[in-house]
Amino acid sequence: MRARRLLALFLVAGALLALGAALDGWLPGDDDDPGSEPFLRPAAVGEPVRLTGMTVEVDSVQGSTALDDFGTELASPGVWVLVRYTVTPTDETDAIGFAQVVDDRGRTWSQQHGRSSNTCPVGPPGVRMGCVASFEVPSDAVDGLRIRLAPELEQRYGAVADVDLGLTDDDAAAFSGAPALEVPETTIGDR
Amino acid sequence: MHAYTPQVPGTRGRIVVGAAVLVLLAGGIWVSGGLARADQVGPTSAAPGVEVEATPFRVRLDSAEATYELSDGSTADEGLAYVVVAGTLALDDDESVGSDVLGDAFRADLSTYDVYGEPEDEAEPIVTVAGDGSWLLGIGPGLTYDVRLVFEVDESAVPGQVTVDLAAHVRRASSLDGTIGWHDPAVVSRVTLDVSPLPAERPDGDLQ
Repeated sequence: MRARRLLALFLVAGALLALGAALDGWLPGDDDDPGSEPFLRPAAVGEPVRLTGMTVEVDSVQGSTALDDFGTELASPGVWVLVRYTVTPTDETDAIGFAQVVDDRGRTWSQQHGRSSNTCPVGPPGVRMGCVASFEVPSDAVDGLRIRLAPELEQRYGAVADVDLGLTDDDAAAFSGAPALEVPETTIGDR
Repeated sequence: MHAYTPQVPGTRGRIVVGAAVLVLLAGGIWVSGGLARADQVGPTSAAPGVEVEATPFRVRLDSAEATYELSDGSTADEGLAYVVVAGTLALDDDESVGSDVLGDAFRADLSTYDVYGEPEDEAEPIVTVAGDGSWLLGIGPGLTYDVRLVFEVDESAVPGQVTVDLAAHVRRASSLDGTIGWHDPAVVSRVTLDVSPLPAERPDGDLQ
């Protein structure tokens, strides 16, 4: 009788362990906070996106294996993708402080990591500010590449522009044979 | 009045209890991730030219030289020289990382100076890209760079060999703000390279 009780006890304990293991992958992790995820605003090149305190619009995309960074030619083991975009603050002086590109596989390249950069001057409400971001990515990331732009690095609960750059594998091949890109200067007012 | 007689499990009971304990033990090991080989304690030695995993990086160090001049044209101040380690660097993660993580990945057994000319407590290199000499302030996924690790040392203290420690990081939430990142660098590999000697003379036009 005692042996049967012990057996039942261990069977129940074993079943609970198995149930816990099965549920473990379904429950949110300690660091997960899905409620605070930023709101991605999808758009295409040339399409204005309304963010908190500003409107942002990607104007053009170029690519090459080399970037002429104010006199220094930076050769990449991948390709450079140069994005020009315009920011129009709506309520107060503002700028884009965060830029990142994301590929179809979920890989990310952020500004100021490596040799990538984002230059966007702070502008007053109503004035169009021409900004420039450059990213160094592998050629296999070009097809379907998107840029994410936000006012600040801190994006929880905020809106983030998620702009499809409209690039394909053909563009990646063209970038490989393109001349070095010159980093354009930022602008105030219309380009 | 009954006399106390302890209940001793019979043979069958012992077998059942033993089997149940074994099942529970196996279940506990399975739930906690299974058995795995314990991490090796302390750094391993790697030969020059061999790629090493120093999470989140993959690093290969090939050679070292002493020089007065870097590929971007800059020259060492009077009395100083550079020890330059050549190799390759790639990132083994899907998110780009910054210069703080990259900088913590390398240390050398040298007495060095920082960019302001002050002696450093630890010999942390400036990581540059071979060819143009631009500073690599972090790295993104899918890109493998030919790099130069640049250490500035006293001209009189250029060694015949340099040992570079490669540190691995752990990805976890910051204890300060909870953001996920790479922390806790710990040396996992050590590469010793012969240093080719300084040129007999400084390059022309050394005006600092």
